[in-house]
Amino acid sequence: MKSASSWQVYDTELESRLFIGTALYSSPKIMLDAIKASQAQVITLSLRRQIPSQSESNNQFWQLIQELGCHLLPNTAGCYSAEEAIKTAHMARELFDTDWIKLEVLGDSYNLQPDPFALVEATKILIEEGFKVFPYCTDDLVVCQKLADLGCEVLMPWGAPIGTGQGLINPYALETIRKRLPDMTLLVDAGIGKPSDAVQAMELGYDGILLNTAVAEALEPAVMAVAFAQAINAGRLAYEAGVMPKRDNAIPSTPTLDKPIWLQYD
Amino acid sequence: MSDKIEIEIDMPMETMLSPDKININVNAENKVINIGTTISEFLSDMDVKGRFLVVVNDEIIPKSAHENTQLNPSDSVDIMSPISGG
Repeated sequence: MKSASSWQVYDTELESRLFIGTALYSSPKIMLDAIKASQAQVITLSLRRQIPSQSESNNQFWQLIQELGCHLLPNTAGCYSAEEAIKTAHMARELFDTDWIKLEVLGDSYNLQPDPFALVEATKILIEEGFKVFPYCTDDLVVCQKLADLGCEVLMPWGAPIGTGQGLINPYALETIRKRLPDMTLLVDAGIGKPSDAVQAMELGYDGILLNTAVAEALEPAVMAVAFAQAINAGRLAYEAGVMPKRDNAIPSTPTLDKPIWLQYD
Repeated sequence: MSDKIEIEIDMPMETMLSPDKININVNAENKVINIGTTISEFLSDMDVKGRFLVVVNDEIIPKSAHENTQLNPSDSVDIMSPISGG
């Protein structure tokens, strides 16, 4: 099966265009099988106050992560201020030995919407400190432009609120970001529910997809992981191949000249 | 009028009665340790293993400094570990 072209995220060359989360799986083995099946090369994870010796599951989790051999993208999930997110990013850099950070600064606990003001504030400081920031943002074009101006090489606007599986609620906004920031690496992060949502985002010209719940909460996570991997590949190939424009009028695909029988209908 | 005076001391009895002990806070729980305990000694006593990060009073303490950093009374120690995330 033909694969879409490889791509680059900051200084890292990747084949897979799927970033996958490590949360919500019903067992560590199911997580491992699903991530392997997805062929993702980047996984997201987080950090909390836990003492490893008192938590066998914690040690097992880290061992499994190492077994996967993926690039790690730690997040600042659950932070509600720039200060909190910056502190968490510092800890993540030390704990995971990476300058990549999926920057989440939430503004509302109902829909877990990113706070664009705090996000921009935290991004500015972290980029100055040498982080490679992957900001989780809304689909607001101006916020995306500000983040790009600060030096982000990747932006991750939401498709829909985290964990909702609503798909792309505002494809127009996502497409506008794509058009206005043609050289930016863009991933849709959050809200993807089914493979067709991922196809839609990739056909819009997005470079990748970050998801978690849609795979972790499937009845067969490993099978769903394959479905997403193939969907993302298909969507990207379609984008690279060039999708035909929509038309209002029907145009026959079979030539009408020299038909064996000619009847005038109108 | 009563002669009774109430004094509230926010310190475990063990620390009060043992001058060689200090009280610290570890992942939001009180712990009593010996004066002069280094981070390395504390981690060993707690049997902390695997991948973790030590933060004392909001300051990240690199592994290379664990051996020579002593914990002080009322220090707030956070031990951070990897967890799953999306």
